[in-house]
Amino acid sequence: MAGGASGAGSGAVFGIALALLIQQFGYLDFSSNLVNALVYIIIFVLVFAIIFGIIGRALRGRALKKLEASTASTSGSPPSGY
Amino acid sequence: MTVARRSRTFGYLTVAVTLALLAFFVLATSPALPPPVRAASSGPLTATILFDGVNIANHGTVGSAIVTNFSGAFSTAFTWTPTGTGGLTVTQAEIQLLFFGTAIGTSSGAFLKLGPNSYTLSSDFTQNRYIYEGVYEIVATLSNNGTTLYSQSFFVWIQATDHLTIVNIVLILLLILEIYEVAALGRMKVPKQPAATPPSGGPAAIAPATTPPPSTGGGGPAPADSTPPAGDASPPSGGS
Repeated sequence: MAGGASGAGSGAVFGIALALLIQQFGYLDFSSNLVNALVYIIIFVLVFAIIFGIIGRALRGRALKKLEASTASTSGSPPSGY
Repeated sequence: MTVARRSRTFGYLTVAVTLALLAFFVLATSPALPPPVRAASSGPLTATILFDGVNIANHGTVGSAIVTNFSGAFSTAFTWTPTGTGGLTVTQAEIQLLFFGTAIGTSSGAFLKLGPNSYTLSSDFTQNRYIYEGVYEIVATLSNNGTTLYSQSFFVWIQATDHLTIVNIVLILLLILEIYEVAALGRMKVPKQPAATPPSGGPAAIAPATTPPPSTGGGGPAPADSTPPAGDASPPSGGS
Protein backbone atom coordinates (compact mmCIF):
# COMPACT_ATOMS: atom_id res chain seq x y z
CA MET A 1 0.00 0.00 0.00
CA ALA A 2 2.76 2.43 1.00
CA GLY A 3 4.69 1.61 -2.12
CA GLY A 4 1.71 2.44 -4.30
CA ALA A 5 1.08 5.80 -2.65
CA SER A 6 4.73 6.73 -2.73
CA GLY A 7 5.01 5.71 -6.34
CA ALA A 8 1.90 7.68 -7.24
CA GLY A 9 3.40 10.77 -5.61
CA SER A 10 6.58 10.35 -7.58
CA GLY A 11 4.53 9.81 -10.71
CA ALA A 12 2.61 13.02 -10.14
CA VAL A 13 5.81 15.02 -9.86
CA PHE A 14 7.20 13.17 -12.85
CA GLY A 15 4.10 14.04 -14.88
CA ILE A 16 4.35 17.74 -14.09
CA ALA A 17 8.04 17.81 -14.90
CA LEU A 18 7.55 15.91 -18.14
CA ALA A 19 4.69 18.16 -19.26
CA LEU A 20 6.81 21.24 -18.63
CA LEU A 21 9.75 19.69 -20.44
CA ILE A 22 7.62 18.88 -23.48
CA GLN A 23 6.36 22.43 -23.44
CA GLN A 24 9.92 23.64 -23.34
CA PHE A 25 10.62 21.73 -26.52
CA GLY A 26 7.70 23.34 -28.28
CA TYR A 27 5.08 20.59 -28.41
CA LEU A 28 2.61 21.93 -25.87
CA ASP A 29 1.12 25.36 -25.51
CA PHE A 30 0.99 26.54 -21.94
CA SER A 31 1.06 30.20 -22.77
CA SER A 32 -2.39 31.03 -24.06
CA ASN A 33 -4.48 30.35 -21.03
CA LEU A 34 -4.33 28.66 -17.70
CA VAL A 35 -7.16 26.18 -18.32
CA ASN A 36 -5.46 24.56 -21.30
CA ALA A 37 -2.24 24.24 -19.36
CA LEU A 38 -4.00 22.76 -16.36
CA VAL A 39 -5.81 20.21 -18.52
CA TYR A 40 -2.53 19.07 -20.01
CA ILE A 41 -0.84 18.92 -16.63
CA ILE A 42 -3.70 17.01 -14.99
CA ILE A 43 -3.67 14.42 -17.75
CA PHE A 44 0.05 13.92 -17.37
CA VAL A 45 -0.19 13.77 -13.59
CA LEU A 46 -2.98 11.20 -13.59
CA VAL A 47 -1.39 8.96 -16.17
CA PHE A 48 2.03 8.88 -14.56
CA ALA A 49 0.67 8.66 -11.03
CA ILE A 50 -1.19 5.51 -12.04
CA ILE A 51 1.84 4.04 -13.79
CA PHE A 52 4.29 4.83 -11.03
CA GLY A 53 1.81 3.78 -8.38
CA ILE A 54 1.44 0.36 -9.92
CA ILE A 55 5.17 -0.01 -10.37
CA GLY A 56 5.90 1.19 -6.85
CA ARG A 57 3.36 -1.14 -5.35
CA ALA A 58 4.73 -4.10 -7.25
CA LEU A 59 8.31 -3.29 -6.34
CA ARG A 60 7.46 -2.73 -2.69
CA GLY A 61 5.52 -5.97 -2.52
CA ARG A 62 8.38 -7.89 -4.01
CA ALA A 63 10.84 -6.28 -1.62
CA LEU A 64 8.65 -7.14 1.35
CA LYS A 65 8.46 -10.73 0.22
CA LYS A 66 12.22 -10.84 0.00
CA LEU A 67 12.54 -9.30 3.42
CA GLU A 68 10.15 -11.78 4.93
CA ALA A 69 12.01 -14.65 3.36
CA SER A 70 15.31 -13.27 4.57
CA THR A 71 14.04 -12.76 8.11
CA ALA A 72 12.58 -16.23 8.24
CA SER A 73 15.82 -17.77 7.10
CA THR A 74 17.96 -15.93 9.66
CA SER A 75 15.80 -16.27 12.77
CA GLY A 76 13.37 -19.00 12.04
CA SER A 77 14.86 -22.05 13.76
CA PRO A 78 16.01 -22.17 17.38
CA PRO A 79 19.42 -23.51 18.25
CA SER A 80 19.57 -27.21 18.73
CA GLY A 81 19.32 -28.56 22.24
CA TYR A 82 16.42 -26.41 23.37
CA MET B 1 3.69 -13.24 -5.51
CA THR B 2 1.29 -15.66 -7.04
CA VAL B 3 0.97 -16.16 -10.74
CA ALA B 4 -2.54 -14.71 -10.80
CA ARG B 5 -1.50 -11.62 -8.90
CA ARG B 6 1.54 -11.13 -11.07
CA SER B 7 -0.47 -11.41 -14.26
CA ARG B 8 -3.03 -8.95 -12.88
CA THR B 9 -0.31 -6.45 -12.05
CA PHE B 10 1.16 -6.94 -15.49
CA GLY B 11 -2.25 -6.30 -16.99
CA TYR B 12 -2.67 -3.05 -15.07
CA LEU B 13 0.78 -2.01 -16.11
CA THR B 14 0.09 -2.73 -19.75
CA VAL B 15 -3.13 -0.73 -19.67
CA ALA B 16 -1.43 2.17 -17.93
CA VAL B 17 1.51 2.24 -20.31
CA THR B 18 -0.84 2.09 -23.27
CA LEU B 19 -2.86 4.98 -21.90
CA ALA B 20 0.29 6.98 -21.25
CA LEU B 21 1.64 6.44 -24.73
CA LEU B 22 -1.73 7.25 -26.26
CA ALA B 23 -2.04 10.45 -24.27
CA PHE B 24 1.50 11.43 -25.09
CA PHE B 25 1.12 10.96 -28.82
CA VAL B 26 -2.25 12.65 -28.95
CA LEU B 27 -0.95 15.63 -27.04
CA ALA B 28 2.41 15.82 -28.72
CA THR B 29 1.47 15.35 -32.32
CA SER B 30 -1.77 17.23 -32.61
CA PRO B 31 -3.11 20.21 -30.78
CA ALA B 32 -5.92 18.49 -28.89
CA LEU B 33 -7.14 21.77 -27.56
CA PRO B 34 -7.15 24.36 -30.29
CA PRO B 35 -5.29 27.42 -29.18
CA PRO B 36 -7.40 30.49 -28.83
CA VAL B 37 -6.31 32.47 -31.81
CA ARG B 38 -7.09 36.05 -31.20
CA ALA B 39 -7.66 37.63 -34.54
CA ALA B 40 -6.79 41.17 -35.16
CA SER B 41 -9.30 43.31 -33.42
CA SER B 42 -11.62 45.26 -35.65
CA GLY B 43 -10.97 48.57 -33.99
CA PRO B 44 -10.50 52.05 -35.21
CA LEU B 45 -7.38 51.15 -37.13
CA THR B 46 -5.79 48.36 -39.13
CA ALA B 47 -2.19 47.46 -38.67
CA THR B 48 0.56 45.33 -40.03
CA ILE B 49 3.06 44.01 -37.54
CA LEU B 50 6.42 42.52 -38.40
CA PHE B 51 8.25 40.52 -35.76
CA ASP B 52 11.91 40.57 -36.71
CA GLY B 53 10.83 41.13 -40.27
CA VAL B 54 8.23 38.35 -40.28
CA ASN B 55 4.59 39.27 -40.73
CA ILE B 56 2.75 37.89 -37.73
CA ALA B 57 -0.55 37.54 -39.60
CA ASN B 58 0.29 33.98 -40.62
CA HIS B 59 1.59 32.85 -37.24
CA GLY B 60 -1.51 32.79 -35.10
CA THR B 61 -1.33 29.12 -34.14
CA VAL B 62 1.07 26.99 -32.19
CA GLY B 63 1.95 24.96 -35.26
CA SER B 64 2.97 28.05 -37.21
CA ALA B 65 5.00 29.65 -34.46
CA ILE B 66 7.87 31.87 -35.49
CA VAL B 67 11.17 30.25 -34.57
CA THR B 68 13.36 32.66 -32.70
CA ASN B 69 15.62 33.03 -29.73
CA PHE B 70 16.35 35.66 -27.15
CA SER B 71 20.08 35.75 -27.57
CA GLY B 72 19.86 39.35 -28.69
CA ALA B 73 17.55 42.27 -29.18
CA PHE B 74 14.69 41.96 -31.62
CA SER B 75 12.38 44.46 -33.25
CA THR B 76 8.66 44.66 -33.78
CA ALA B 77 7.57 47.03 -36.50
CA PHE B 78 4.06 48.45 -36.26
CA THR B 79 2.47 50.11 -39.28
CA TRP B 80 -1.08 51.30 -38.90
CA THR B 81 -3.79 53.12 -40.75
CA PRO B 82 -6.94 54.54 -39.15
CA THR B 83 -10.12 53.08 -40.58
CA GLY B 84 -12.14 56.24 -39.99
CA THR B 85 -11.76 59.61 -41.55
CA GLY B 86 -10.81 61.50 -38.47
CA GLY B 87 -7.27 61.69 -37.18
CA LEU B 88 -6.30 59.06 -34.62
CA THR B 89 -3.51 59.36 -32.14
CA VAL B 90 -1.48 56.36 -31.06
CA THR B 91 0.63 56.81 -27.97
CA GLN B 92 1.98 53.38 -27.14
CA ALA B 93 3.10 50.14 -28.77
CA GLU B 94 3.54 47.13 -26.57
CA ILE B 95 4.27 43.43 -26.77
CA GLN B 96 3.47 40.99 -23.99
CA LEU B 97 4.92 37.52 -23.65
CA LEU B 98 2.32 35.26 -22.08
CA PHE B 99 2.68 32.16 -19.96
CA PHE B 100 -0.32 30.48 -18.35
CA GLY B 101 -2.28 33.39 -19.77
CA THR B 102 -0.29 35.87 -17.75
CA ALA B 103 2.24 38.34 -19.06
CA ILE B 104 5.71 37.31 -17.97
CA GLY B 105 7.57 39.71 -20.21
CA THR B 106 6.56 43.13 -21.43
CA SER B 107 8.21 45.61 -23.71
CA SER B 108 6.64 48.90 -24.66
CA GLY B 109 7.43 52.17 -26.29
CA ALA B 110 5.71 55.50 -25.78
CA PHE B 111 5.35 58.08 -28.52
CA LEU B 112 2.78 60.40 -29.99
CA LYS B 113 1.86 59.78 -33.58
CA LEU B 114 -1.15 61.00 -35.50
CA GLY B 115 -2.85 59.37 -38.48
CA PRO B 116 -1.29 56.63 -40.59
CA ASN B 117 2.10 56.01 -39.20
CA SER B 118 4.63 53.45 -38.08
CA TYR B 119 6.81 52.66 -35.12
CA THR B 120 9.54 50.14 -34.51
CA LEU B 121 9.69 48.76 -31.02
CA SER B 122 13.03 47.38 -29.98
CA SER B 123 12.88 44.74 -27.28
CA ASP B 124 15.50 42.80 -25.43
CA PHE B 125 14.77 39.72 -23.36
CA THR B 126 18.39 38.67 -23.32
CA GLN B 127 18.45 38.55 -19.56
CA ASN B 128 15.89 35.75 -19.72
CA ARG B 129 17.49 33.73 -22.47
CA TYR B 130 18.30 30.90 -20.10
CA ILE B 131 14.77 30.74 -18.75
CA TYR B 132 12.40 31.16 -21.68
CA GLU B 133 12.17 28.27 -24.02
CA GLY B 134 9.26 26.66 -25.79
CA VAL B 135 6.12 27.98 -27.42
CA TYR B 136 4.86 31.28 -26.13
CA GLU B 137 2.09 33.56 -27.21
CA ILE B 138 2.88 37.20 -27.78
CA VAL B 139 0.24 39.88 -27.88
CA ALA B 140 1.11 43.04 -29.80
CA THR B 141 -0.94 46.07 -28.89
CA LEU B 142 -1.31 49.63 -30.06
CA SER B 143 -3.05 51.92 -27.64
CA ASN B 144 -3.95 55.50 -26.97
CA ASN B 145 -3.49 56.54 -23.34
CA GLY B 146 -4.42 53.12 -22.05
CA THR B 147 -7.23 52.49 -24.51
CA THR B 148 -6.46 49.55 -26.77
CA LEU B 149 -6.83 50.50 -30.41
CA TYR B 150 -5.47 47.36 -31.98
CA SER B 151 -4.18 44.04 -30.74
CA GLN B 152 -3.04 40.89 -32.43
CA SER B 153 -1.53 37.75 -31.03
CA PHE B 154 0.94 35.34 -32.51
CA PHE B 155 3.13 32.49 -31.38
CA VAL B 156 6.86 32.21 -31.17
CA TRP B 157 8.92 29.12 -30.52
CA ILE B 158 11.81 30.35 -28.49
CA GLN B 159 14.79 28.10 -28.83
CA ALA B 160 17.59 28.50 -26.39
CA THR B 161 21.12 27.56 -27.31
CA ASP B 162 21.42 23.79 -27.59
CA HIS B 163 18.12 23.46 -25.70
CA LEU B 164 20.21 23.59 -22.58
CA THR B 165 18.43 25.98 -20.31
CA ILE B 166 18.35 26.05 -16.56
CA VAL B 167 14.72 25.02 -16.53
CA ASN B 168 15.41 22.06 -18.76
CA ILE B 169 18.29 20.90 -16.62
CA VAL B 170 16.19 21.15 -13.48
CA LEU B 171 13.30 19.30 -15.10
CA ILE B 172 15.51 16.52 -16.41
CA LEU B 173 17.14 16.12 -12.98
CA LEU B 174 13.69 16.00 -11.44
CA LEU B 175 12.61 13.29 -13.86
CA ILE B 176 15.67 11.21 -13.04
CA LEU B 177 15.16 11.71 -9.33
CA GLU B 178 11.55 10.54 -9.46
CA ILE B 179 12.48 7.45 -11.44
CA TYR B 180 15.17 6.72 -8.85
CA GLU B 181 12.67 7.22 -6.04
CA VAL B 182 10.34 4.65 -7.51
CA ALA B 183 13.17 2.24 -8.21
CA ALA B 184 14.33 2.64 -4.61
CA LEU B 185 10.97 1.36 -3.39
CA GLY B 186 12.07 -2.08 -4.46
CA ARG B 187 15.26 -1.91 -2.47
CA MET B 188 14.76 -2.76 1.15
CA LYS B 189 17.83 -3.57 3.19
CA VAL B 190 17.61 -6.21 5.86
CA PRO B 191 18.45 -4.51 9.15
CA LYS B 192 21.65 -5.73 10.69
CA GLN B 193 21.12 -7.80 13.77
CA PRO B 194 23.35 -7.15 16.77
CA ALA B 195 26.23 -9.54 17.13
CA ALA B 196 25.31 -10.79 20.60
CA THR B 197 21.66 -10.48 21.40
CA PRO B 198 20.88 -11.24 25.01
CA PRO B 199 18.28 -13.90 25.43
CA SER B 200 14.82 -12.63 26.19
CA GLY B 201 14.16 -12.44 29.88
CA GLY B 202 17.88 -12.41 30.60
CA PRO B 203 19.82 -10.14 32.87
CA ALA B 204 19.73 -7.12 30.63
CA ALA B 205 15.99 -7.23 30.38
CA ILE B 206 15.19 -7.54 34.07
CA ALA B 207 17.97 -5.51 35.60
CA PRO B 208 16.27 -2.10 35.50
CA ALA B 209 13.06 -3.47 36.95
CA THR B 210 14.72 -5.04 39.97
CA THR B 211 16.89 -2.10 40.92
CA PRO B 212 15.58 -0.87 44.26
CA PRO B 213 14.99 2.76 45.01
CA PRO B 214 17.66 4.63 46.89
CA SER B 215 17.70 3.73 50.51
CA THR B 216 16.30 6.41 52.80
CA GLY B 217 16.86 4.83 56.15
CA GLY B 218 20.00 3.39 57.63
CA GLY B 219 18.40 0.43 59.32
CA GLY B 220 17.62 -1.65 56.40
CA PRO B 221 19.92 -4.07 54.83
CA ALA B 222 22.12 -2.90 52.06
CA PRO B 223 20.44 -3.05 48.68
CA ALA B 224 23.11 -5.27 47.36
CA ASP B 225 22.30 -7.76 50.06
CA SER B 226 18.56 -7.64 49.70
CA THR B 227 18.47 -8.09 45.99
CA PRO B 228 20.10 -11.04 44.50
CA PRO B 229 22.35 -10.37 41.59
CA ALA B 230 20.38 -9.72 38.52
CA GLY B 231 22.05 -12.50 36.75
CA ASP B 232 20.79 -14.89 39.37
CA ALA B 233 17.20 -13.74 39.31
CA SER B 234 16.21 -16.20 36.73
CA PRO B 235 17.97 -18.74 34.72
CA PRO B 236 18.53 -17.98 31.12
CA SER B 237 15.53 -18.69 29.09
CA GLY B 238 15.46 -22.06 27.74
CA GLY B 239 17.85 -23.29 30.43
CA SER B 240 17.53 -26.06 32.98
